[in-house]
Amino acid sequence: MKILAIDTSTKRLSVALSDGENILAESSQLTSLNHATKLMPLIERMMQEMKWKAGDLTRIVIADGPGSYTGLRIGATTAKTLAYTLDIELAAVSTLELMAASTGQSGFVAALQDARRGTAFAALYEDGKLIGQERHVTVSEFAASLPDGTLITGDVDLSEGNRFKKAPAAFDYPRAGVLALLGAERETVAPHAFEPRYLRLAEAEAKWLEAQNES
Amino acid sequence: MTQPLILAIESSCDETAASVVRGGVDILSNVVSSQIESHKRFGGVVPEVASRHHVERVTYVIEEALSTADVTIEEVDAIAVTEGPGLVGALLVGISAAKALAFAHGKPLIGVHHIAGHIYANRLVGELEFPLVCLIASGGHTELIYMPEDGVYEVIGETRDDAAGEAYDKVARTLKLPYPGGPQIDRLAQSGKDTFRFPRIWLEKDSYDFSFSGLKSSVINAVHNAEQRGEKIVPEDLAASFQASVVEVLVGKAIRAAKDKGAKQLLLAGGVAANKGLRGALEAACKQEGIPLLTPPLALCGDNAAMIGAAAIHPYLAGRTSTLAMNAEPGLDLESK
Ligand SMILES: [Zn+2]
Repeated sequence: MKILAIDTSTKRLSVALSDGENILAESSQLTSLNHATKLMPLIERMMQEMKWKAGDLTRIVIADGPGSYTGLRIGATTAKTLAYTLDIELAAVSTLELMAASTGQSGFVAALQDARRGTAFAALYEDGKLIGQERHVTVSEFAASLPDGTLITGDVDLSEGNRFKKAPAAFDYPRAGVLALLGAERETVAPHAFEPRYLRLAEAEAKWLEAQNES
Repeated sequence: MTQPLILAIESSCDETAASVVRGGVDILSNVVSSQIESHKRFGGVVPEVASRHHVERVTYVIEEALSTADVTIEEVDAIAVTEGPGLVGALLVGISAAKALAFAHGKPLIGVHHIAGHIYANRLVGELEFPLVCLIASGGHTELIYMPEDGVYEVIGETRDDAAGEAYDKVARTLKLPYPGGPQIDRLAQSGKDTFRFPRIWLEKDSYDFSFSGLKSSVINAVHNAEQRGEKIVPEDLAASFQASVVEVLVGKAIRAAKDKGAKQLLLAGGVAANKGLRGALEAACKQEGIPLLTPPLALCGDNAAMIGAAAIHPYLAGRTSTLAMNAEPGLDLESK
């Protein structure tokens, strides 16, 4: 098995190679704001160092959201095009699940991404299993639903009231190495039909639907 | 030497397109997936919606372009893609797909300027003879380009405010015509008369620049004034009057530029090149002046990838390839390409 894992959903950019059981190479740019220019050169460099050719790959694993819309599209398009053109497997893993798994902690772990105006893309996991569902939700509502002592990962501050623990900085970002292992055995998705999960409609679309419902 | 095969991708606005072109001239396939039905409900292209559609469509379109052309990706010599200008989120989808293909199969990657593509749509119809002048008119652009030779561009005139196509869309909205308004105005204008005599905006005497916002305001005012007086506007006449003003200026400046520059050809390109009024007037003027006119067929006027494949041949043969660090350039400069 030769896996290439890609995560471009947040401002972090992370790429990894794996044989399905071990992380063989991993590279993360933690303050990258230009995934468009950096993703493909990063993949190319890592593959060269590992002496892997594109044709050797057997599976692409992609973090499919939620996240920044543009980032998601860069990763999703790269992943689906590679899987289609190399005729190999494509598997997708939730970005929130990846964030939770990247903390390396068991028990209750909540992953949150700031989605502005006091809202977040968020989900709660217990020992890696999703509790409830991934949601676009107000931060206060989500926080109120969490058990005491939940470990928090992501860019939303829930320190007030001291009910929760914050993931240590070294484990507080999504890692493509973790992604590769999570996605090694996942069911595959069809490359052509694959789309990222934005978890939120485009603003114009939401307004249009609202107007339809009113009339 | 066998003619190079180029797989081209275009996603700068609301069409997801892929094409295989041989030697910059022969279209082996030209697949365009239009999103226009989706954007109609918004009355215009919504960038985020467009970008999402591109992701949904992009690999289907690529696969269809290859299978229709009956070539495999291994047989392709290079991957070309629109680098800019356009909607950044939309461009990035085509670019990400192109890079993935180039990387996966070790093919050179060629970034193409969208307007160069529109110009080279004409190369799919006939030989280009230099020097030439090209009039570009589309939803986003109104420009006069001088080309002394293959692959060299000089922007000698451009709009200072709205693009011609934008003015069409706004006037159409005033007349409550469905989106996209350009073809609707053109259709109405065919059966109307220039009764309003809107101003012709020529700007400075020797300028090749354009301005359409004043004309647009005149049209909107005419409609409002009529409404206030309780008069009925004949939409056909309003459309004909607006179109007459746009066409007279576009044709006048294009002909003057062609003569001043000693052009051997005048080219028409861009989505508005499909406009019957403009095509007719330009044909008549070129005939009168003895300037050979080249216009792409309607199918190649709007955004498509065949034109990107045609424009890519020159940089490909010159060895001007891009790296995998290529970015979307929403404001890409034509002269630097
Ligand atoms: Zn165009």
